[in-house]
Amino acid sequence: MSARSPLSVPEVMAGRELLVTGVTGFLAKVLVAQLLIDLPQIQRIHVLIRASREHDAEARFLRIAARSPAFRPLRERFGADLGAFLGARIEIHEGDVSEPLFGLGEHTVRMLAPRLDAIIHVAGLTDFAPDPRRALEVNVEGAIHAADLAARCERAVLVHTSTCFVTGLRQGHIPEEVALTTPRGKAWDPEAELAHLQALACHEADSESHSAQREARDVRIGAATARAELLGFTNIYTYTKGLAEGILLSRCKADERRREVSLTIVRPAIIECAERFPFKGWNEGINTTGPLLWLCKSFFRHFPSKDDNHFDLIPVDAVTRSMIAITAAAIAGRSDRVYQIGTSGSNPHTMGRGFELVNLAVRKDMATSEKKRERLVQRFFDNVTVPADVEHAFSPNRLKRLARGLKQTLESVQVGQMLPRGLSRSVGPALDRVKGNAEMFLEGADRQLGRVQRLFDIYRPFIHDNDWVFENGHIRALDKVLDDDSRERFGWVGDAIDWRVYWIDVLYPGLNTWCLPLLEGKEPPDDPAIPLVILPPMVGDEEGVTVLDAGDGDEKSDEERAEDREYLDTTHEIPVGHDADEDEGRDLGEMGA
Amino acid sequence: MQKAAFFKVEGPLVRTGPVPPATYYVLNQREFKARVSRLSGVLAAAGLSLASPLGEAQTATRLAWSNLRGMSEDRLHVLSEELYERQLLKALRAPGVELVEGAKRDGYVVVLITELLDLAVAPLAKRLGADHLVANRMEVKDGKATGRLLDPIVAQLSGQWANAFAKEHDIDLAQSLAYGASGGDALLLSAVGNPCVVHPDWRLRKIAKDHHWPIVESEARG
Repeated sequence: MSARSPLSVPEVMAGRELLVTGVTGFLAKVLVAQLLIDLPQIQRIHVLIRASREHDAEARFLRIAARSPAFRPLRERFGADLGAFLGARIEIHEGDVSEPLFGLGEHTVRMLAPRLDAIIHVAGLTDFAPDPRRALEVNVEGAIHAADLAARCERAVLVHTSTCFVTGLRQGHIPEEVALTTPRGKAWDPEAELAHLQALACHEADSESHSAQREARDVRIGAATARAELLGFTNIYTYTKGLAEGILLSRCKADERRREVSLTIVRPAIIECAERFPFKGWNEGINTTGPLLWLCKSFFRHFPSKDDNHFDLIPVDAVTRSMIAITAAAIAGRSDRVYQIGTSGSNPHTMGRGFELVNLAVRKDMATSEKKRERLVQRFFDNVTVPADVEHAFSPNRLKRLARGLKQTLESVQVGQMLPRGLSRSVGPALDRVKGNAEMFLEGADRQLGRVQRLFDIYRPFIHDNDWVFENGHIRALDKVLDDDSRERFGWVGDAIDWRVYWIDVLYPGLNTWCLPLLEGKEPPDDPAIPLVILPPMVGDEEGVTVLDAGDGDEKSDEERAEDREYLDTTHEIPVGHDADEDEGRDLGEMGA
Repeated sequence: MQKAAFFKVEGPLVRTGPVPPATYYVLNQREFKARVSRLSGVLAAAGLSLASPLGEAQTATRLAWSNLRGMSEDRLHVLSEELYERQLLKALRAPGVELVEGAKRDGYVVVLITELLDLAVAPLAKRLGADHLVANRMEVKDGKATGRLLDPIVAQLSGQWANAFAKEHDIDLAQSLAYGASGGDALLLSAVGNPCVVHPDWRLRKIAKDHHWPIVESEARG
């Protein structure tokens, strides 16, 4: 950052037009809501939303505006006038980041080109082990399409949302720069790697049958996971995000056909519950710490983790504040290339402390539980961290073997043959029922323990194997050049987080309300819908006024539900009965976008 | 010069049992193994205190609290909060609270003295509007309790301590009040002009009778 006059975010943003992608996801929802409420000076916010099979982009955005807790402050402030307020500021574009120029028609691109000042590309597939075909389309090609669109614009800067965890297996202090090598330190050509990933993603099923499709997808996932490991990335998500960063460096350069695009990369760490905006504790979907917390509330007590490793969490509103300041700095030509929005560099806390704070939060919560089991017993069972490679007495694999062994033993027992005939006739049926129940219990335990182990395997790189300290000097330097008003609203707040207060009073209650119900097959609370009318016509839509009644557009399509369930069943590997968040931005591990 | 009212928390203000104050923390250590092994340390400290009541109070207090070594600072805070909300508040003695309020009305500087950790009693001091809180403080390094208490250790406060405190805060001890409940409080009580014992243990009762100190007994609950 150069030492010039203080940067006023409202002044820079006045009269600007922004395009935001990924608006159906957790992070971008909060970002758009905050832009709307804190920067009314902005001329227009264009939101890009993919249509689902049953709902078009407009209906999906209206559902967010009418019911999402992220928009609660807007509904509270504007009430019945919200529709008019949004109509004056929001322009909804139906599109798909996986298509060239986001699938926007040539007419729309031409219309946007002279108007856009920034493209804030937040859309991303945050599953840790997605189908690489989809990860390629959204995380890599989506970023390329964002750069292409920015290049078509007259002046738009590109603010690309990535993740701190693109660092992969590099350890220790991670600088704020795009790595020019793989995490294993070998030279790489991102364009060649893109071709490699495209080849991996091409693997097709032999037939149209569901099992063949599933098998082909598993082959693709296996190949991409192996490729990620070979390069030194922790999973497909960080691999594709890292690849996108490398490619953007070259794709944002000028050539004979396109202008140079100013590129700023925002790398959040693990995005968690809001500290203040839209309100304390809000979260959406199944994020990184949710499943861990869910396990901590069970009787499972031994977690593979290293106490001294850093645990880099960042509240979602701390990220959105920073993103707004960064966008303003980028528009003003005063931004750095990479911003790591994490806390480990300046306000660190460790895995050991995180797990301890979970203990204390659970203890506090269960002290007033209506369930006696929780109040009198479970709250006194604290979790402990254990080395992942040592098979201790309570490791899931050992318990799983025990459950299997017991089940096999039970199966080999013939109750009727072991008892005298008279006794067998009288108590035999009852004993058979007990035996049957025990077998079912052991089978369930076997299955659950397998899921727990797979969950640990997914999380292991983040809670056990690697210790990262993400430097965050750029965002702290930006904070210093903001003027007082901008610092108050958009300054860096990561250093002021009191982790005890955050975990116990914000994160735990937030996840308990907004995330854990999903893991238990229940619905988190949703805000009551308000009738909402957005007055200006949607781009290309001559019909004009759209009215959303309570519940309209509320239900997800079968396609969305099927996608969500498949995602949860295959990725989380824990019992669920509810859909997570929608498409891009859906979050097992909202690490970054 | 100001006049002060010294209140020992354990006894005059809060009903306490025979269990050493470190017990609650030790029983709520993170690991079961530590709960059991450290409890034996606390009980040993309690035994030492009973066996040599006059000379080893500080050693016994040090020993009891040393069993918290390794406990996270977060746990110390949360357990202290629990101790206050779930035990101290429930065991508050209404007559004791009235004495504090009366002392404040009469212009006394109110000083609460306790062998508990400051983290647990600070909310009580705030609630009662005390001017000073003299409590044990645990040393914390790198987010973990070392098990060492910071000076001054509150176990059996001496007349010397009372004189130093009075000098530091411009207090006239001869015009001051002190309320205690156990034999360990006798030295403090004898340092002020107006001592009073509240629900005394057998040792303090005997000393109070010998010195003709007033004895207050009331089981009304707060």
